[in-house]
Parts: sequence; C-alpha cells; structure tokens
Amino acid sequence: MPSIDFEGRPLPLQPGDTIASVLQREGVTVVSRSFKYHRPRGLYCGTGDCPNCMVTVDGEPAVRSCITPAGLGQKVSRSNGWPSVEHDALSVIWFFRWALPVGFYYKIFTRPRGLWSFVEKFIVRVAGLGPIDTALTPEALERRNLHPDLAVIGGGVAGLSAALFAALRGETAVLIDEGLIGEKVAPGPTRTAIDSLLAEVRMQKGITVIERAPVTGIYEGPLVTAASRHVLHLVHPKRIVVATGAVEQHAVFPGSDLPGVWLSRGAARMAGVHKVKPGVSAVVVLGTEESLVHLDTLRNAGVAIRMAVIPSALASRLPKSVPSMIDGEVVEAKGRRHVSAVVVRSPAGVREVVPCDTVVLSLGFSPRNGLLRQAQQCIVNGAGEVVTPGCSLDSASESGRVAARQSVAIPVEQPESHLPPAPGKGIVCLCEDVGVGEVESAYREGYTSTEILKRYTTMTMGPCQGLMCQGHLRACVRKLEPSLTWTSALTTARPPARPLTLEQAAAGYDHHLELRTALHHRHVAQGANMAWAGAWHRPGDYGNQEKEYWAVRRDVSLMDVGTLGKYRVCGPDATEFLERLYPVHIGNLGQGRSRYVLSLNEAGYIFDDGLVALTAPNDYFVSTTSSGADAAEGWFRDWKDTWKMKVHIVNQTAVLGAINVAGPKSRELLARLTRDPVDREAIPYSGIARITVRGIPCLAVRVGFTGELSYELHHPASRSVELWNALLETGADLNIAPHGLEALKLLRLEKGHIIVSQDTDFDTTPHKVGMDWAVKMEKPYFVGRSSIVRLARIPPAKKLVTIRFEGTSAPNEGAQLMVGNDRVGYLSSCRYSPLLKCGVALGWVRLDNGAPPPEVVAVSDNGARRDTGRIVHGAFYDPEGAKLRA
Amino acid sequence: MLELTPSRAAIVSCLDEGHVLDGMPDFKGAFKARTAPDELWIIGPASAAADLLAHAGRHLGGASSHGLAVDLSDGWSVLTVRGSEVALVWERFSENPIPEGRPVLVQGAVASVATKAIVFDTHIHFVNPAPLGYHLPRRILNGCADLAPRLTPPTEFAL
Repeated sequence: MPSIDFEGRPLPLQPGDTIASVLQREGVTVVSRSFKYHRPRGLYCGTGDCPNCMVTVDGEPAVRSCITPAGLGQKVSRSNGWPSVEHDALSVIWFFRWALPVGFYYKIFTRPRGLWSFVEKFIVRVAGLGPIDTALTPEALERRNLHPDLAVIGGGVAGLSAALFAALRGETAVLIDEGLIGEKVAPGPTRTAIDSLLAEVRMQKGITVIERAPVTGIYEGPLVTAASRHVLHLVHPKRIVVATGAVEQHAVFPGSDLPGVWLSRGAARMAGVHKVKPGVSAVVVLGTEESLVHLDTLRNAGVAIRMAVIPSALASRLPKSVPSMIDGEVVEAKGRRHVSAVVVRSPAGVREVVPCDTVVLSLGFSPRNGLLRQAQQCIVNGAGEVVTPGCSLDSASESGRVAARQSVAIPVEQPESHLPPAPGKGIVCLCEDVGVGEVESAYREGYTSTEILKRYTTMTMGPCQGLMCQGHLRACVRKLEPSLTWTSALTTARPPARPLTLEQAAAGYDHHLELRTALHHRHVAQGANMAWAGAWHRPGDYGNQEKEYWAVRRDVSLMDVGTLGKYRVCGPDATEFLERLYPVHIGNLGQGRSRYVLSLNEAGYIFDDGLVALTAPNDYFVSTTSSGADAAEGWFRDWKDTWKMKVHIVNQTAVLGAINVAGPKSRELLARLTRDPVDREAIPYSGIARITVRGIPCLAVRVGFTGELSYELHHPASRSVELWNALLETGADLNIAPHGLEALKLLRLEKGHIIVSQDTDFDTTPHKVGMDWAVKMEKPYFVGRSSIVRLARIPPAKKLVTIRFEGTSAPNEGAQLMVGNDRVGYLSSCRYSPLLKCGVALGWVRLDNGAPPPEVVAVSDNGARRDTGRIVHGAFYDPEGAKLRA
Repeated sequence: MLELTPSRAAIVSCLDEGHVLDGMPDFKGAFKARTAPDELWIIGPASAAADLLAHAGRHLGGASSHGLAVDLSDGWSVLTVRGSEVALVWERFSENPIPEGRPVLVQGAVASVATKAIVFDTHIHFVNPAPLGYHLPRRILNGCADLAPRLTPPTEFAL
C-alpha cells in the first residue's frame, strides 16, 4: 500500500491526501511544538495560514503540511521537541515563562559579559521550526517571466471571475493559486461555484493558470513573485487583482492553541474533502453563515456535536437535534496535550464544562490582505473576501469583474469595526508564542503602538505574517489606548507574504559569472591554476611561481593581459577631451608615444590608472586596469556628454587580446617572428608601433610593469591562441615560460609599482603614494585639479612607503605595522624576493611631523610573527630603470 | 526541439550623429539597428566583414566629417536559438516581454548578462560580450533541459 515514512513509521496514503490528512487519519494529533514554550500544537486552520502544522519533509523544515500533497515515500518528521515532539521535556519552559518575558534577550543574560553567547547557543537549539539539513544539495531552480495584462492572485470565486472577465474582453491573464484551485474548499455552494468557473477558465487560451505557487510578494514594476516547487515565476502584469480571500479569525482564550481546536474551514475541509473526522465529539461555535454548512459536513462525517454555541440571529437555522447555547461563548479549552473539554459561558454568566475532544470555531473573518497592502505604487485592486470578508458568492464574483477592469488602484479601507473583541487571556501570536499578558506588559514598557510592538514582541513577523494575530494585536492596543487611533493601525506588510526557501529565492542564479579571455582554455590546458581577479578568471600561476618569476628576470615570459581595459578614443575633440580628463599633458604627446596616466575623480582621489598612446592625429589608444575596464566606459561617456565634445569612445576590451612579452630576451623572441623593427630606436621605452607578428597585426606597446624589457602585443582577440602558441614555440630555446598573477605581483613589487585598489584606498591622492610626478599642476584644468589644490594645504597624515624586511621569508600581506606599542599602519602588498633575498613590501604608515618612521615591526599571525622592516626609498630592483629602457 | 548554434558574425559599429546613422543603407544579408543615440550596429555573416565595414565607411564618409565605422566582431559572441519553444527560452531568461514588431533588436539582461538580441518569430540571435560567451549556451542547456536543447556546430550568421 502506498505510504509516507513518518518518523520511521509507514502511514498509508489515500488519493488526494495532504500530509496533514494522513497524519489526522492515523491519529497523530500533536503535529508540532510551539516556537518558544514548546506547547503542543495540532492542525488548526487547514488553509496554510497558521504555523501549527509545519513539519520537516525530506529534510526541508517548516513545510505547511495542510496544503502540501502527500507523496509516496516522503520522509516526514516533526521538529522542535526533545527527546520527541510527542513527549517533549522542553515543554517545562511554559512553567518558567515568567522568567522569559517578551524581549528577554535585551534584559537578562547580559551579565556577566559572555553569558549571552553561552545561552544563545542553547536557545538556538531549543527554539525554532527545525534544523536545515546542510547535507542536502540545493536544487538549481529556474525562473519564468510572464507578461500578461492582468495578474490574478487567488483562485476563488472572485479571482476566477476576474481572470475570466479579462480573457473575455481579449486580454491575457495569469491566475495564480498556492494550491490546486478549489482544493481547500469543502463541498458546498462555494466549491460548486469554483468548479464551474474553473471549467470556463480552462477553456480560455488567454488565461495561464499557475497552481501550487504561493505568491510571496508584489514589488514595484509591478512584479508578482510566485514560488512553485521547481520554478520561481516572475509575473510582470499591467494590473493586478488580489483575491486571496479571508482567513477565519483566530481564537484567543486559555487553551485555544491546544490540539483539537480547529478553525471551521479547516475542520470542514478535513471532513468533507479528505473524509477524515477532525475529532469524535465536538463543540462548535457557529458565528458565520457558512459555518452552518460546515456543521452539516461535520455531522455527515460522523462527528458527534456535543454543543453548538450560536448567535441568536442564526439560531433558527440550527437543526433541532443539535444541543445549543444561544449567544454564549467559549472561554477555555481544557486538556494537557489535547482538548478534553471546553468551558462555555452563557449570556447570564453561567459556566458549563462540556466534555469533548474537538472545538470547531467560526468567529468571523480576517482579510488575507498582506499582498494587497504591500503594493502601494501599483495598479492593484482587491476582490472578494480580501476586501469584504464573508461576502456572498454573487458579490465576490461581481467584485472580481469590477477589480479586473480597474485602471487605477482603489485604496482599501480597514475599518476598526472588523477587529475582533480584545482578548482577555491566551496565546495571541501562534508563530512566536506571545500571550495577551506579554502584549500588555510590553505596552507598559512604553511600546505603545502596533508598529513598535511588532518589532519588540515579533508578533506578525512569523510564518503567518500576522494573519492570525494582527487583528488581536490591534484590538489589544485599541483597548489600552482608546483615544489615539493611529497607535492601533495596521502594521506595514512586506514580502515574503508566504514562506519560501532560499533555493527558491535564488532561482536563476545557480551560476558564477566569470569573465574569460580568449586564451582561457589555453591556460587551463597548460595547467594554470585559475584565480579571481576582479570579475575575471585569470591564471594565478602555472604550477611553479618561482620558475615563472625567473623566466621574466632572466629569460623571456608571456602573460595574458587581455583583461586590460582597451579603448579607442578619437574624433575632432579627442586631444582636448583626454587633456581635461587626465592630470598629465596629452597635447604634447608625440605620435607613436604613450604616457602613464592616473585616473582621478572630482575629489582628487585615485580610482584607476593606465596608459594613453597617440596612434594617429586625434586618435588614441587608452588602456585601463583590468578591474577598472567597464567603469572606465561610463566615466568617459559621462564626461563626453558633460563637455559636449565630438569624441568617439570605442570599447575594445573584448575586441583586442593582449599578451605581454617580458624579459631580457623578449626583443630577441619578437625579432624572430616579425619583419618589422623592434629595436630600441624603432620602439623605445613607452613607444608604440604597429607590427605584424607571425602574420598577426599587433599594436606593440613598450611598457615596464615587471621592470624588464617588455612589449604588450594588442591584437585581434580571435587570433590570441595563434599568437600565444607562436610565441611559446619560437621561444622554447630561450627558456620561455608563461607567468601568472602571483609572479607578476612580486615582479611589480620589486619595482615599487602600485596596484590601484590593492595599494590605494578610497581617499588616496597622488601625493600620498609618492606620485606627484604624474600630476602636472601647471595645467589649467583636469578632473580633480581643484581638489588637489585644496588638499595640498592639508598635511597628509599617512603615506605609502616601500619597506624592506630581512630574513628568509616575508610577513603576511595585511600585517599591522607597529612602532613600539603604537599601531602606525599596515602592509598593503608584501612578497619574498628570491633575487634580493629579502621581503619587499608596500605599506601605509602614519606620518610623524611629516615623516614616516625609519623602522616598523610587522605583526601577523595573531601576534605570533614579528618582522622588523626598514623604510627605504625608491624601487628595490633596477631603481634607475636601465633594464626596462634596454 | 531547441537548436543552439554559435554563429560566426561580423559586427560593425557605426558612430555618428543620429540622422546620419538613420540614413545608413541596407546591406543584403545583414541586420542593422540603432544601439545608442550615437551608434548603429550592422550584423552580418563573418565572411562579409570587410564588405560591411567598407559599406558603412562609405556612407559615413559621404555624410559626415567625423563618422567612424569599426569592426567589433571579436568582442562579441553570437548564439542563435531556433525552435518552436524559442519564446519559452526568452520567458525563462529575460525579464522583458518578448518584443513586438519582430524582427527587432532589443537590449537588456538575458540570463544575468548584458545582451543585445535580434528577435525573429522563429529564432533569436543572442549577442553577448565575448568574455561571457560561454555562459548562455550552458544556461540554456541546463535551464531548458526539459525542451531537449541541442548544441550544433558553429555556422555562418544568417538572418
């Protein structure tokens, strides 16, 4: 027989079962334990609104069992009980509730210091809705975007009527329901009306029906998000109709949260749809028209009605055979782990104890209007019970049609007349275990409005999002502060209106986007260890960093620098444009020459650096750092538009590949592959030239980030692999080896070259990093100039310096720099130099009377490592630059 | 059935004043569309790259003093998706509605990547930055596995 696995026990399934109906049929009455006090909880609302039926299903906690279909082999268990939910020793907490008032975590366990961190671990273990199974691999879910004219949320009479109305007038509609449409509704006139309308809806091509997809939020756009098991639906409609109906009013009296207490719609559904009795003998409270239909359903299912508590207005419609109390009320449910009797009180104040195992309550309705209240700026209208709780079927249908044709949002009024009477005693908030006394106590502490009571008590913030407790909270405040109406106002509704899993929230993002150069696969094939560098994935090394380092210093090496930002800036105003943009002279740059440039913002701070080369009159090649490549385009275009200049900006970052050929033998290697001259006269240091390397057109740029003779070869990206292979093959006898980022970081550090963003901060000026030479203050204008003039009047408090550490290894990057017991800075870059046999570093140090300390101690490894370093001036390697100018 | 084909395409960017760009004559077998107030793209088969560039250069040279036509083909990756379920692919990866007035070029995020898409009734050319060109085929193969997607060898771009 098909079954589910309930805590190791097979429970048989019937067609159409929910997990809750299986549990009820098999006599599992304690379905969960409450969040804080571990009170026993059983099935209650039956409509997915309350937190009582939450169980763990196949490792996923907090699944609402009353609306989740039961499936063959499902592993179902209860949470939050020790040693078990059935016999939970932690329920003793209820008797110590005086010690755990609302907001107790702000008040107790705060002394001695450190107590809270100990107590917190215990609280985290004993409270909550069940642990997440971290061994489970999240499913990669997808998104689906829909763009109908109308989105309808809720497949009741009003929602179906709205969708149908839109379709019949030629519009497209998406109809979303959190279950199968109609499944929550017990047999009766409402169910009949739904079935009939649904049949019509299914015939309309213009209506897309999405079932089992709870809507979690309405956002600007408008955007409606609905999370089904495997897809996150993003619906982008022009208009929205919210027809989420109403939930039966939660009952607050002592014992009202015991298993055996049901809301009427849930009990009727259990009896009428699943053919499972909610109990053997019941006391029913018949406060609404439809509860009379529910009474018939319960009686037909064989539930013995011990007493019906009914208002006089409905009393004449009660069957004579049912014992009744007119205009009475239920004041208490008795029982330890389940209802065993209820106490009812007559209008005259006479109390009567009625033995029973079930209480079915129909006290009125609360609109399920969280979604309606989230959508302030969109064309959203409510229809049916969400605006008129308890309305007739005809009125629901008409309001659906009216809402569907609205082109503006009609504000929803929430009259206080809909509020339940202020409760006397009992649990108000089922999700967070907050009682009436705790609300009153919080109020006396000064939390005097619903909004701040919500934050302090966490009421309305649990899985039900206020559906059960919002009205009672408002009623409590109204009673305590009758003169100020704003204090009892509705709290702000925010997404998610219904619970969703993290994997649902992350739908469509199961991937890491990494930028790859045209040589990516070549590097991987060559055994490169790929590393993140900004958004790029680049070779960190090829397995032997030292070998790569020596290839550059002694022989020849290649590096893929295709990640550099590469722009063509041309047009009649190009020279003037770059002159204004950069702090160096551009107008006197000769054709075939390049110049290092710092990019400054208006505040005079460095945010990038690069190179400007003149390739033809008014035609420039501009490079930026790899991480600054994309931002540069926005920067260029912003200033171009500001200055209204005739300049073309062409982003060639991906169009051009770039390979840096570096090392003393780089010229020899290039000469073997090109007929164009590459000697010192043809391409001097900082010169550029168009050459053809093994048939591939290249722009060769003489640069020197590594401190060696180097040629950056910018070429069509589609030919990168061809060029890379040609260089490697031809340089084999020159001991050529490619190098990765790690070797590069050491090579440039030996030269004292900064990496913008690693060695700079958000407030780094050229002066602070010793690069005044890159700023020509004699220029009348460049971006950031006025700020630099102003900043020059303020003595800098810190400076980037080069530091040498003796020894056989280098301190860690990021190490704190100390002078005595005084922290004076940190290391921004540090490596051990195999050539110099010492640690080389760049570090920020505090200035004392304008001068850095002569010596610092770098403290790393949590103080276990201390290295004394000496501040030096200039580059560690080839300070005169003879090698790179070779 | 869904067919994913990397297309070898020539992409020429034309930069000039809007009215000059609007006067760009058609080029047989290529698609042209404005991508920015000062930019027009012409996309055609890779084998026609030189002709496309010359065609664009002729027009800009005759109509303007500082227009510019540049070949950006290497910077972009084109994936052509064909099949009866092509609209469903769009629905899953783009938050924008499938555009009206097809064929048309639209710009926006597709599968989280900045994309220019040329949308036809029967197929879509997705044009992505080359450094992210690997991404979309992989996302469609995974995210549309239920539509039986098939990756076919690269072919010349065709409208």
